[in-house]
Amino acid sequence: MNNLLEVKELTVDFDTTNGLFRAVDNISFKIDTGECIGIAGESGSGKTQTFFSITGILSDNGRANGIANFNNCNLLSLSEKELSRIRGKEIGFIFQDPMTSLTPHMTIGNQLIEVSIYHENATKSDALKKAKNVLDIVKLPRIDNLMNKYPHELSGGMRQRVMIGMSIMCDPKLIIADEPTTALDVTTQKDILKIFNDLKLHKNITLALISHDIGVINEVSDNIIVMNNGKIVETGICEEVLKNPQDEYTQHLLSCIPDWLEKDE
Amino acid sequence: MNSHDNNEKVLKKALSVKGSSLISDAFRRLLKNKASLISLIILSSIALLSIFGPYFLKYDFYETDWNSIYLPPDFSSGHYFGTDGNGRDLLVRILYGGRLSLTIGIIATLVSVLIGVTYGTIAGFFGGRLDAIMMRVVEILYAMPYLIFVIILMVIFGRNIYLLFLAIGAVEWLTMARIVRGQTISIKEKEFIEASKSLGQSSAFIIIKHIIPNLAGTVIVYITLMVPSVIILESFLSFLGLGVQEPLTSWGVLISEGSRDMETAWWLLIFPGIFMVLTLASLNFIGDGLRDALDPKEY
Amino acid sequence: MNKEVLNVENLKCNFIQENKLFKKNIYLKAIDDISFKINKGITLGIVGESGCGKSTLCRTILSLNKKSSGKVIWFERDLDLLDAKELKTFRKKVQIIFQDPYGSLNPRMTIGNIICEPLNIFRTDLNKKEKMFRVLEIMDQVGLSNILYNRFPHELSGGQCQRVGIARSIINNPNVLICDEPVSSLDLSVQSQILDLLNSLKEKLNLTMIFVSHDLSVVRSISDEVMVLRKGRIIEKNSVYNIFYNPKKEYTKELISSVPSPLPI
Repeated sequence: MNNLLEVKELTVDFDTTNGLFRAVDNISFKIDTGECIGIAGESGSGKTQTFFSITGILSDNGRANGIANFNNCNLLSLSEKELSRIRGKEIGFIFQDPMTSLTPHMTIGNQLIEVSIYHENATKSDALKKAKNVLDIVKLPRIDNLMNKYPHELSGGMRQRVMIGMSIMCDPKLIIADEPTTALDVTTQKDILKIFNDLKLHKNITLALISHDIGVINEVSDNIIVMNNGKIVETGICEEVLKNPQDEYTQHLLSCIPDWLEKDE
Repeated sequence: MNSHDNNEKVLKKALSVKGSSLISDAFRRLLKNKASLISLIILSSIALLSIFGPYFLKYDFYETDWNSIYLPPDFSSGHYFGTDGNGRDLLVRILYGGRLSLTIGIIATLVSVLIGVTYGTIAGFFGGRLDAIMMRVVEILYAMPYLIFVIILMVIFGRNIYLLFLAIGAVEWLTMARIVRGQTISIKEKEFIEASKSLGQSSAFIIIKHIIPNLAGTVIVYITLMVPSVIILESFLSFLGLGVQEPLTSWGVLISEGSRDMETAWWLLIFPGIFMVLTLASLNFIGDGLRDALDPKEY
Repeated sequence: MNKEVLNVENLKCNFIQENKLFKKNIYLKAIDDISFKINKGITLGIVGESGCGKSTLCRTILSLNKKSSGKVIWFERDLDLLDAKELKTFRKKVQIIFQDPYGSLNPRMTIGNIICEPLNIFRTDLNKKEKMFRVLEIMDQVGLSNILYNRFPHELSGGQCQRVGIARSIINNPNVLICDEPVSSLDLSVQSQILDLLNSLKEKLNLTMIFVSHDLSVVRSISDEVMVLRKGRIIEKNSVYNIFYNPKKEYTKELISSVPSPLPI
């Protein structure tokens, strides 16, 4: 298998009023094509900042050092313009809050079409066809009707599906999903996770799933990275790590999950 | 009681660590902002000069020096900023004018803050029909042409400095009330207000203890922007001849007089103008800095 | 002895959704005919997805919301018929903990003053120093270091803030504690600490609790009985064991099966 993304010695610092704050501390990992990797950790563990820095969307006071080889080019050395070509086309993004990541004043259809026109120079009719196809993949009903709706007219779960659809518009090599189900209800979450699993099966996507919920990661991921305080504490095959955690922090994290199926009275 | 001593010890330890409040944090951040710091220094020196300066000068603000009429800035005679058409020392007049302008700025602002905050919190907190009525009243007052209102007041009661405070305060509190109402509505949705309500706390207590302290940030920023607008308003009224009366003076009056003699005696316009612009700019910079300091986005 | 602490009868709560000037207002039925009883010392878990009315129910029981019809009976006394003195006792003895750890504390007050607020209202017999001792005692009980006494909420972590909220609610020895999503915005490890704290307080203070959460595993770990809500109605109410191992209703089954399992089976 070939490496799609290889991160070496990545460090992310933030300039704060109280001096430098190290959010990500010298981490290295790899993602293979077709792999689904879950990044687990609590808030402040640096799991989100790792991927923000790779794709160049760190906030202004953040600085990233290290190497992030994506498709044999170092993302950290690219200019903002080159990065913006890669974002959306080669790397798809799904954020936690689908309301804020969709533009409120544009219809769903136009937002999807725009992505394709910007990145692939597609004609409008091609883009339209593609958008419908994508919405079909994420199992949204009544697509023609939906294309003319605005984000606020949709429920949270539907918005998140649109986001997933948008992220796969250009057949990206890598999809980064940052807490994609945290804002959703459990039943909706289940549907979304099912879509991820379908995409894995049928479209062979490469997915980096960032979540604080180990249950969510376990549903979708093959491999897992556990992060704490900006460092990777444990990596491995998801099932093995969860069954038999080696690191003390992972053990602690797993012990904190309220008893789910064990407590039988 | 043995545990009593122990309690005392714990209490002493607990009280020994002081936290830093949002306001004191904000003040520290404000002082780190160079523009605000410089503005703060300029503003306080102008204020100090206005208060104490006249005592160190040999001329009085109403005193006419018959030997020097329209005298340009001159160090030998002690008329550092020159004199006006009546032979009165400009520097001392500027400082006296500063006293008046700043006093009007501060008092009129305080009056409008007092009315505006009370009115706004009550309307915002109780909401519903009361809010609707109170805000309609504000809108009606807004619609009144205030200049005509002030002129009528002046004509009826004669020119009077207290009337000036009243007239300006009556105009400025409207905006304050609106801003405060909006803030109150967003604060009252917070859970700590509900927590207090669930304890059966009275509305008056909740407003005073929980809502008003949380308005402080917005109100402080708004004050720094309101003082200059009041000073300008007073200058405008004085410029029209509706403000303070001779021989008393304010920056507005000085600028108004100076503009008449602009071609022959430039100093009469330039010096009061500099003082006024410096004050207004400083206040605006401080307001800007305060807004950033109270709302720290980057942490 | 099983004594009824709270008895809710046919409670309804409507919100005006559209306020039209000349037409009839359109109402949203946030709570639609809910009746239940809680016996002393029992923890009732309330689960449901967002918008099911669980938070509204809490607020209506505390009469922070106006109810449209129905009764709330507390120790055999109808809340509507309480006189001023009894109402004060009700306010003292029925307490609530909120979801947002920072939002539930006044950012301009010190921790000591926040916890002291209930004492200032109900314990006018104590002098200033006695109140301080009581506050420090309760801070110790909920696991807050006493050096936090003069600190402000923004200087504390989310978990510490939630402990402050708990301290404030238990300082007058309440008999009913309503917890509205108290751990939803906390990290996993902090969440388990808070749950442990609530569990221990429950026994120590002999509390009757209503515990609202969207997270089934959390509800399961703390409750004796569980009530499932959907769209303002009760779907099912039963003991924890029956709800999780022997669910009667389709919706309950769906809800339970939706939770992603963190442990590989």
